Amino acid sequence: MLFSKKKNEELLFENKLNNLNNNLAEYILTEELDYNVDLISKLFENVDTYTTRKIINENDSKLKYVLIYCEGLVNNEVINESIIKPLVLSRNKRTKKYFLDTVQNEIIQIGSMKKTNSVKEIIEKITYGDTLLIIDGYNEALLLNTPKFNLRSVSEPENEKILLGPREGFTESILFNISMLHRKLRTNDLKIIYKTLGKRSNTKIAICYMKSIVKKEILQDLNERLDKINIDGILDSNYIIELIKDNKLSPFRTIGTTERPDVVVGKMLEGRIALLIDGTPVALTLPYLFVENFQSSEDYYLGFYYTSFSRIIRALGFIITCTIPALYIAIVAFHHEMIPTSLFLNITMERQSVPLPASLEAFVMLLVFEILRETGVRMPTGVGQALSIVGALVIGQAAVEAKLVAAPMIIIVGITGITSLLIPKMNAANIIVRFTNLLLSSIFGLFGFLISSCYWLIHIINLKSFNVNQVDFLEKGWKTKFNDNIIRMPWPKLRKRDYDIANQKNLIRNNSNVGDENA
Amino acid sequence: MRKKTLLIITFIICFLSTGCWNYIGLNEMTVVAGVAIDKVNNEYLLSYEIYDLQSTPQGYPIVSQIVQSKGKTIFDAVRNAKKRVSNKMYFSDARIIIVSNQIAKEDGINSIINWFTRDPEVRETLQIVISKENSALELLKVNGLTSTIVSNDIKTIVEKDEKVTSSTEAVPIYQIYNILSNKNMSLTLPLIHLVKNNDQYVCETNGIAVFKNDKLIGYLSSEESKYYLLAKNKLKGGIITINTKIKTADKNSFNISLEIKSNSSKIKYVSFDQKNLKIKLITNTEVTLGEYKDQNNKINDKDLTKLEKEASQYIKKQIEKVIKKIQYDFNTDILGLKEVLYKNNPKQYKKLNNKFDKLYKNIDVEVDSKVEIFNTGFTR
Repeated sequence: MLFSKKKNEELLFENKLNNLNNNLAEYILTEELDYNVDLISKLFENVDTYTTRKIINENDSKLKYVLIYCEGLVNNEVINESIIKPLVLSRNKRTKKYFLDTVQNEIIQIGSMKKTNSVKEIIEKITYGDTLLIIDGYNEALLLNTPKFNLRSVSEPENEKILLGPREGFTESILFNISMLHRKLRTNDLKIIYKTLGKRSNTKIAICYMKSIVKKEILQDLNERLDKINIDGILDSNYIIELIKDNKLSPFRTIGTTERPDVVVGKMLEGRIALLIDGTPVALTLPYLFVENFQSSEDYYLGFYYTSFSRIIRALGFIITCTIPALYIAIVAFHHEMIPTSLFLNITMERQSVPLPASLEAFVMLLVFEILRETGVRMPTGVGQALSIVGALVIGQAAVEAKLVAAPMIIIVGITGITSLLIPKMNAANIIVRFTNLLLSSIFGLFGFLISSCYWLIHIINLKSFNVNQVDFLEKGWKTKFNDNIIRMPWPKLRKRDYDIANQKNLIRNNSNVGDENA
Repeated sequence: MRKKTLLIITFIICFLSTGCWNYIGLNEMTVVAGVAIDKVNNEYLLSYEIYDLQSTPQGYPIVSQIVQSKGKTIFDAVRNAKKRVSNKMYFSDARIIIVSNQIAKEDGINSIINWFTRDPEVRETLQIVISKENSALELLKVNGLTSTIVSNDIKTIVEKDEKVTSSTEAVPIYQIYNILSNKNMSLTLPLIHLVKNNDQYVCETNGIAVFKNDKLIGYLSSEESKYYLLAKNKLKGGIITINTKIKTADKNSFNISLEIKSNSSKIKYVSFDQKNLKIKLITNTEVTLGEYKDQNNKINDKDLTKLEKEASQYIKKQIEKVIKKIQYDFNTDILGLKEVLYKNNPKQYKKLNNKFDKLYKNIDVEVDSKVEIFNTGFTR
């Protein structure tokens, strides 16, 4: 009878465990030490880094503690010196009511800790480097902050190199990244709110914003969208981008990405919200306007004439890379009379003994360029050079000399390729827009080109980022928008924040009155 | 779903039923540079100068070839050319049509240009010239002086002429159509002939071919063309050479040249009494002294005013001569006097409209020329 009762209990426990993983949130600790330890040990069955350590006080053998942590995630020195040693040596008397507070306040010598009884929270914390301290006879345990990570050192982001300006970039640790933001914004106005996303990865993300500048509707919208995420794991910020983006199928970006803390701070000062994600150096900024595709952080660090010019170049680059091959094909294959005679004759000469028709040639060559680019991206630098030589020589010169490809096509593909590299932020959009333009114009000529560019124009104008129009010059405040758009005005002129993005009550960002008063 | 498919289908129909789109590879056409039109045995003989892209070596200027075809109409002949060449003739880059004077006299220009104005491929800026030689083909057969393609040569010679020499007037094909359909205007076309240059025959402008209705009736020489253009306010440049009577040290008269910088002329209706229509032509020419033979290289104000007077008188005389030639020899209103009447006095025009052809010969044109020398140049 006794035996069966015990077995029954065990069975019940097994059943409980099976359910445990499904609804962790319902489970809490009890006052029984052994039960608690068993519960957590069962949860961490077959996790070999999982470690438990029993501690008994030197002076009072009834005082039993259990430490639970994952090897490798914790700082052993801190555990030995600041947790185990004081716990063993302490002379504090056990009083039923206040002993937990005594342990927390007097015995353990650690910067931060937290009382909890939620199993779910315990699991999340242990796997992030915290140590769990369970005390016999209490239904609450202490989570001690003892993590130790090996971090990559701060370096300049490879993809966002600049000439002048701060050279630090984010790392994979969210705490470290937040510290970089804090160092640039020393104010309590900078709010950082943690959220945990991903059912299995339990990735920590931080929503950062300036409380007095941010637009509350956008913040609320962001929170709602984040709460709807129900995915198993989040390894990079792009998971979140694609989950919370406005036009889910659009090739255009509606959320900005950056690896630079200075960019994030700059955007936050404009009223934008930043999302930092643990485990990736790529931070998100939102809302994202269409012009931001053509802007770079450097634009504010270099002189405004120069940067305005480079912004114009980038915008031109986008137009050229999307339209040039399509226009060339439309004109060469359909509308010969649009070409001046001498140019027409030169192109015709080149095309005399080329096997492929012009449009097919364009498709093949653009594909070859994309292949070259894609191989180049993943190559180590040494091989990359060899690759570019092969690309330039084989595809360029040899193909023309062998009369496989007409020389004008090589020029067109070259221009397209170079201009597409001007705006790395739009790499996806570039390819899609370019190829649809090319496809339609090689079937219908300029007419098809117009149809497809009209489609994309309408699409771009319809784009929204968190209910803010991506392209909008017609609303109130367009003058303020124009100050920092394709052209960047000098700082004395940049007095107001964008009407659509920042809090309406707090639009003025720069009220300096230096030098002549007419400025 | 049904709505969507319907929408897509309508879009596709819209695409496919649009006007002019068809894919032609650049290597699937025979590019024509110029056409010469002759008539042999009641059939049109068309000679095309085509760009010979196949046999031109890389890095050299493109050479040309001549392809010929015959047909009862122009279009017929154009299509017949396809029997000889592999690819269809492509006319969008054609520069020039040379018409033999024989066709222009007998058939009229209208029958020639009709196909060229109707066909969508041909450009409206195509130039038409009249060959003064026996056949139009002769002009295509010579070598160009400045380019390997004669058609390009002729086109640029004709088009750039008016600012430098004013020996002829370029008339693109769309203007020919406009002039022929306007009853108040008469057509002129540039005239080209062959001259010997360094033992080789080359093309040269040789004045203007004058048309009555659409048929050729005579020529103005290049000198006469200059004064005709001056009277018509179409002159943009050129040289006037006059024999001055100003006595210099050696007491001989000598030739000087004046460069025309700008010119404005106006034709005005004056009066009409019974039989005589009076019309006034005022020209105002600004010139610079280009060449003046004097030992001291100096010219004083007195001589200058004298020179101005002489020049204006000379111009007046020349214009009168040309107008008389147009009135009596050709009896065609290329100066546009009827249009002047219509614009200046519509009431009178209505009355005289039917009688105008009879009156034309006796129209009294009073010429009033003024020349101003505003610059005498600078000699070092």
